[in-house]
Amino acid sequence: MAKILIVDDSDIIRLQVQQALTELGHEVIEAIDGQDGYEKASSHRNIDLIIADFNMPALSGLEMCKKIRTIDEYAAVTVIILTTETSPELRARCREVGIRYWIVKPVVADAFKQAVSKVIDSIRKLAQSGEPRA
Amino acid sequence: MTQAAKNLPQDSSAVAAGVDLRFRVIKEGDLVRLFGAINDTTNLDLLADMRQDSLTLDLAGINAASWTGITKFHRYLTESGMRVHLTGIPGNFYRCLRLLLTDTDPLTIDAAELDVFDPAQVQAPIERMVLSIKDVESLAVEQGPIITVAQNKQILGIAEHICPRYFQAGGAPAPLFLNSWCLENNDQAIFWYNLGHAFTCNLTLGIDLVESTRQNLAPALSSAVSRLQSLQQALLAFDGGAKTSLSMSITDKIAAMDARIRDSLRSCDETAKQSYSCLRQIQVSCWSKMADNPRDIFAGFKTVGDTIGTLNVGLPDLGELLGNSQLFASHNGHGQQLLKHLRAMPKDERTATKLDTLREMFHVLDIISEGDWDASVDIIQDELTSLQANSEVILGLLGQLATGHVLIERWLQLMAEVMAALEDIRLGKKDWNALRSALFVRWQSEALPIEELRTFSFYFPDAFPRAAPAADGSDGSDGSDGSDGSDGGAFEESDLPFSEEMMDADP
Repeated sequence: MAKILIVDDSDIIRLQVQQALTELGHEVIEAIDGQDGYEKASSHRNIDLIIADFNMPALSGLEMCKKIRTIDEYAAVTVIILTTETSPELRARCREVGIRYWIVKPVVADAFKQAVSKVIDSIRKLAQSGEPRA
Repeated sequence: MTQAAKNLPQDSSAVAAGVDLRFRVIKEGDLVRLFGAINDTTNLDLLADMRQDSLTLDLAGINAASWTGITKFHRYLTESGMRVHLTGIPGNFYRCLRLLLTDTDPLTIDAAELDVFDPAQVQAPIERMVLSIKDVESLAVEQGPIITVAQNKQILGIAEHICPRYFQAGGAPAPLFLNSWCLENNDQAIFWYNLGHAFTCNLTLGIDLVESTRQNLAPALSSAVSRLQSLQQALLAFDGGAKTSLSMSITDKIAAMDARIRDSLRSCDETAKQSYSCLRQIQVSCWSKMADNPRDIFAGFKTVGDTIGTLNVGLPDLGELLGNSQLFASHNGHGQQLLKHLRAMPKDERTATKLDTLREMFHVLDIISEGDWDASVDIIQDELTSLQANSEVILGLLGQLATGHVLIERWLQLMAEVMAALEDIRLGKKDWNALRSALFVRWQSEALPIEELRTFSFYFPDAFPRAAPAADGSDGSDGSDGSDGSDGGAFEESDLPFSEEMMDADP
């Protein structure tokens, strides 16, 4: 089981993601926008993965990730961006801050679960090997 | 009744400031709030989830809208079968929307942002206030066609042009001027007053079209350039022997073009301000006992024409833009060459490092294909297909940009002709009625762009013979010379010389 922070300003998307992750047996923390996401990350320990929308009020997904990475424990936390955006420039900007994963909405439950499981496996392997993660 | 006023203009400066243009729909109880931009590519089906018998849409969050977007929005709502109330309508949006409204629309305008000014303060800027249209209509009954709202602010424009009840139902009472010249030359005063509004409306429609095109063009160009750079890097890294005509200078050219359009639009904002300033002076003069006459003040539009002429010269050359956009299309062959090379690469050469490099070049963040060479190449193939799609979108947008140029060019030509005639009228060499008749004949005989047609038929309904008889069985004419533009009534699609669909199909 992993501890996952989901950050999205859409109630519907949060519900879909939360249901899919709960079915996989993961613990879920929810945040309603970028600022709330940063505050939740600041107040929770041992978060394994952050799944965040790109465009959000208060703080964008990208800005939130930069801010969360200033917290020592989460300097290399793995992030998946969940978005409707397909622009290569936005993906390039994500790569620049070390974000390596991107899922395009709408969320299709099976594909989403498969993708998250692959990322969680990757995080565990890296943790075992002692290498830094992104 | 009112909210805080803000100064003109809004749209292009809002975009320059990086405002979020994504179209979004948020339901809050019985109210549905819309955000972002409404243009010809906006997915209005997002509203389908909100379907109910009666719906109130708050448009205050719409920060940009194009003519085609507003036309599509109006059509979507009128065909939805719902009774729709619109509130918080931004000024630019309402200026276009009112040209489309008919008395059969299931739409009610609750509140819209209107242009207001303080007639006592000569230098004070024109501002915008969100006003309840029902309240404005009540004030119009009390005050007549010129309406003063809170804080002694006067609405720019007469009630007939603001309140749907009036422009849909035969017009408000004719304006009663205070200016002695206007009282002696009532019809002529109304003609210059309405012509000023029609010119300003057409000018802003042209500017809005260029601006909305730029909003779509900039990200399309940016994505295309990014994908082109990825292709170039990959060709050099993985197919070093490839003879490629890819040129990095294209990115500089595209960036320079976008900068030129942005600069031009900054001038547009100034030009629009000048135009509104003329309208304000004309309105003040009509309703002041001691003021110049509106015909002479109309000459101030010459300055607006000079500025917009400079702006149009500053817009990028379309031929150059088209030439560069063809470059995107011409790289399809290079993309196919890269894909062929990557798919044929021997298994022992497909190292993890090479795969990471390739994925980084194309900014691939897909999870499932990570670590899988063939699946990653499939993703890259999608990227190259998107490059082709970008190219097609860019070509379409360039056509739209050309329409914006045409509208501005036509505006300049007409303005030059009116200015020449105005000089003759002032010198007594020509009758103003001859100018009005010439304009009417021209509007009736030319295939006007739909934006112009809607504007002129709104401000000069008597210039366009009505096909259908009025509800009272008459021919729709009020028997006057019509120069006050108040015989109007609803303007039906069938009244147009050609249908809007025809225009949409052939921009």
